[in-house]
Amino acid sequence: MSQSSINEQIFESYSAESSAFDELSDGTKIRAHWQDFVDVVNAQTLDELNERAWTAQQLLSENGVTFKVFDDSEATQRPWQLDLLPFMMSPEDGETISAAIDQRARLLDTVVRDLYGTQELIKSGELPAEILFGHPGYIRAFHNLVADDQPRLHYYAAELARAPGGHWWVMADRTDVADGAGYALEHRMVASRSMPRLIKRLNIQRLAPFFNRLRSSFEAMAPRSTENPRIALLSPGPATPGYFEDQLLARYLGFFLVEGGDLAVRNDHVALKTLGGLLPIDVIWRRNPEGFTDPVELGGASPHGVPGLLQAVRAGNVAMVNTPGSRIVETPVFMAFLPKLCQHLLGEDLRIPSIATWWCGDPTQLKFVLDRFKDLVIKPSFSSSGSDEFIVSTLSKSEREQLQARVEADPVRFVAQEKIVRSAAPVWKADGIASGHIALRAFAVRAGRKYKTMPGALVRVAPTTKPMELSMSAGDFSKDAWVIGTRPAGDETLLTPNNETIPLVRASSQLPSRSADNLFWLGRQLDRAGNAARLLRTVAGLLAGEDDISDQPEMQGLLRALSSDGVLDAGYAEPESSTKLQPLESALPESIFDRTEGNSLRCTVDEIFRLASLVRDRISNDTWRSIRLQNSEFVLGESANTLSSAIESLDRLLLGLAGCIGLIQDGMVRGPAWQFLDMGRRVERCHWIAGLFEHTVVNSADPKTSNAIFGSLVDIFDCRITYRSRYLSSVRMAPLMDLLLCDETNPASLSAQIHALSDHIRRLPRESGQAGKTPEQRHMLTCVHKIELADVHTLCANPSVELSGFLNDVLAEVDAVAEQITRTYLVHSGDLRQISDEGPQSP
Amino acid sequence: MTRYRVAHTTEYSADSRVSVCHNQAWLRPRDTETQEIVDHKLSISPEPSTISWREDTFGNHVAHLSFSEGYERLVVQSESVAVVATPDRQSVPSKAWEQARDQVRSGAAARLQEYQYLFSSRLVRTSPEFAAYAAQDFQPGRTVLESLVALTHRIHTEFTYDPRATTISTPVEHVFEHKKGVCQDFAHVQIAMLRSLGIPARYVSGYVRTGNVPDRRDMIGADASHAWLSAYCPTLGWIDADPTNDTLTNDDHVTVAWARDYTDIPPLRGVFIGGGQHKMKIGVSVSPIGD
Repeated sequence: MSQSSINEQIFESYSAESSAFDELSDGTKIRAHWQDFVDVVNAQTLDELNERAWTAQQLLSENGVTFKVFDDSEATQRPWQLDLLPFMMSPEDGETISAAIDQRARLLDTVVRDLYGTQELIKSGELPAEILFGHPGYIRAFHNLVADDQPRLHYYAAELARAPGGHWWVMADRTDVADGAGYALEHRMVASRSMPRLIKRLNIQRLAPFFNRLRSSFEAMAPRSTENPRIALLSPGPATPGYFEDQLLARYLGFFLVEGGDLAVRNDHVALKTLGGLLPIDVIWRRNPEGFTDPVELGGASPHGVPGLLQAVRAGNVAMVNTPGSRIVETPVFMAFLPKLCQHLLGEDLRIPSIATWWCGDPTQLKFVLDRFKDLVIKPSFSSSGSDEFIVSTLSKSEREQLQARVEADPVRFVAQEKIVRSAAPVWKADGIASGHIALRAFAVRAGRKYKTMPGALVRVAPTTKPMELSMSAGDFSKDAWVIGTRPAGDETLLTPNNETIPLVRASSQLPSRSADNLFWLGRQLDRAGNAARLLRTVAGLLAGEDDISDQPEMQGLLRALSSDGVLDAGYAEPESSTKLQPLESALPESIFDRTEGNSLRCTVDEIFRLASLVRDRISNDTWRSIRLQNSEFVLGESANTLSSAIESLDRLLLGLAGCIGLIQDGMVRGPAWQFLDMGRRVERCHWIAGLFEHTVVNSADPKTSNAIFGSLVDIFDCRITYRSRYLSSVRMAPLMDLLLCDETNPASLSAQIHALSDHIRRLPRESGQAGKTPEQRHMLTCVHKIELADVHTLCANPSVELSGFLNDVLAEVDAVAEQITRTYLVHSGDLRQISDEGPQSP
Repeated sequence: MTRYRVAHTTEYSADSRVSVCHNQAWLRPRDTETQEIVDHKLSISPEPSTISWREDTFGNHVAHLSFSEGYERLVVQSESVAVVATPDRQSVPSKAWEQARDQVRSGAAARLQEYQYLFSSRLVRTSPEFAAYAAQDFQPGRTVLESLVALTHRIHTEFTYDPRATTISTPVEHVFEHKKGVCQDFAHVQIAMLRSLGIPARYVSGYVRTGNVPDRRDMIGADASHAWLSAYCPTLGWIDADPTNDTLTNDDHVTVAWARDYTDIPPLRGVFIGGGQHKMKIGVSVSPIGD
């Protein structure tokens, strides 16, 4: 098969819509910057390419890339779709965009500084006063946050489109949060694995230098002169659409990932609440909108803000990216004035023009807009672009008339923009190549007096030429953008160049309290899932066995243990009521996978996944992938015999959980993060062991049942081999209790849990100068004594009194320890509340 | 000219300890053309961890207070000595209100300080209904001063003082519909009307000497904080009117701060953690003193 015939096969389905600019071809031949890439694609078969596409999607989903889309009040996570084919950009495109973005960012920064400073632009008439004073986003508290000569815009993004003539246009500005760069980074990581070596061979510019520059720029903003400024990425939290990106950027850049409640302002300084106390923060990369930064001054009991934060900025003790106030220039009304302002302030034309924009508040422009109303897009002047837009041509006649009446009634609040046909580029479909329309988001960071643009972009693709929404969630899927380099790309990464000696650091107590809390509960849930699975497997095995249930005296105790934990309907624990219920054989598999019952095993696995996603920056990638896998694969098998397929699922889950625990134990540094996770596991395990003994040995003193109970305990604890090697085949409860409760050398024993917990408690960070034992240490000591002084023969002789009392005492101490840890280390703040005056009342 | 000693005490007591608290206070009176602040002292118990003063964009003094050591009872006492004169509104003629309106609009760039008070703010939204109500007093050709006096009188007459009818968050439309409220509601309604007509109007917080209170410094709590409004006339400048008392302001009025509406300049606001149930007590006394 000749090269050209392969070419025909793969590209024959591609044709750009004639009204759009064709990125791939100039009409007769492939454009030069696409040629090498097209050759590579042509050299492969459809199957090979589909496999690469599958790999890429698999990687994205393994990395948990999602974008939360809120529809109808219910939050749903939509998987992020990445196109196999990148968007190729020539070195010239790269330079044009880079220079234009730098110019535009400098312009917008100057405008913001003026509006929140001396307001010369208004006084001189360059900008009409009403677009500032009538602007709901003009917030007085943002005046005088930083000195007038200080930049306010540090990080910026622009939405670009290429018009049919081949020229770029800026569709919108993002000056407040400017999200998306994290997705571009993730795309590149995936692309370099789904198309290995290609990026280097095609000499594609790397993204790492941009992020390096971003980090050094942010570090340079630190008000305190220090070797290692602390930078926090302030996220609005896991319930918001961009949380994945917040996590990724924080992890990649080595910033603290925090939410409002994790920070405290003390004496006009910002600090992170950690296990070791308050840790000063120098720079905050704000990922929540500026209106939610400080509930004291901006009102509302927003959980995302930090009380006193604005005053800390004013006092010069913390720097913020971007300085609050920068949002105003991303509202569309400013686009109508930018060409003029660029001339006025920089003495030059915009390098890439804005999409033609008319502000209806100007009578001449309003007339122009009304004359050609049906060809335009109408937007609110004062809301960030992307919300509440009307494409007039798609409206019915009456809708159009209504909209026109609204515009005429309050023209100040509307702008009109031209429609644009976005350029077309090849996109991968399973059966070949089709075309899609391109929206490109470019990013820039302030570097000295200029802005450095990322040599790449977030590209979103829509199937039609219709105007595309400008929000992050718009478009069907995304692309990586590859900018061809003019010289070979370096190997820069985020590791510090090795000619610098950096001070060595070992385990530190800089773990944010919130992470510690999540890790503690992750540990508890991991252990809870394993315990429940083991017990369920034993019960399911008994049910599947040949014996009649009445010949299995241990069953009742095991069912009691399951139902007391809420894993199984409580009715099954009582012989009388269980007869009225669905037979256990069919009910058991159902209750394992019941997502509506909060304590079911399925819900515990969900909770593990949720907690793990919150501490992704604290656990290894492999641990995360392993947890993700357990979560997606824990489903009931297809087999007709639901009981045996439930057993198979439980087997798989137990092996999988063991894998996760193994990764944690082998890979996690023995610092506070591991400590809290492990403490969670130990506390949970104590509960489980005690509960199991309570429900079986204590409550079934009948000697007839003890043999059966013995067997199932040996089975559940998987300790047959150890027991046999010690006691041969003698079936006696006292030695088994010694092995499971008091033998510290058995890692599954209660004693081993207590001793491990005691070790952790001793090593927890304490406030310096604190003398004597902490309350948790005192509880721990009592607990250790009880275990060490326990005599199994006494416990065994009178289980309903001695054993039960012993277990209750130990558990009470363990719970006291857990509560004390929570109080000392995990709970740093309560809910924020507002003080307000009653208002003047005088008659 | 009258010399006053004003004491404004706010006391918060909580069931349990408040662990952290951040506040802003607009309690220090500003100097004005007819008012000089001779002395001011803010006494706070417990001692705040930080206190810093700045001027907000409207030119008012605002204090930022924070308490990181916690407290169960917070007392903020603001004491001022102010010398107040009645504004002169006679020697310069006021302008016809339509001319005033057009002049503010066309000369916006030169008058940003006044122009900014034309727009809707958090508690005060403009609307044609407000303009229509006020049009009866703002007759063609009538001066800003005359029209303002007439509108102030009408609001005083047609609205009923009723502290139970509203809270600080009652929308101005609700007050307008039910014609009931307290001083700040009347001020907000009248501001909405003036702005709807195109006359800049701002909210003024302060104190008023109530004639029925004996001149005794220890009569804390006999008075309350007060609020009125101010309208702009290009020739006369700002004219303060007090609809609650059906008067233009005089040397009975001590100004603390002005802004677009109450939410820009509450005497005290903040955010705290902990504390259980809260009780608040406010006491104000305005006492004339000899020189």
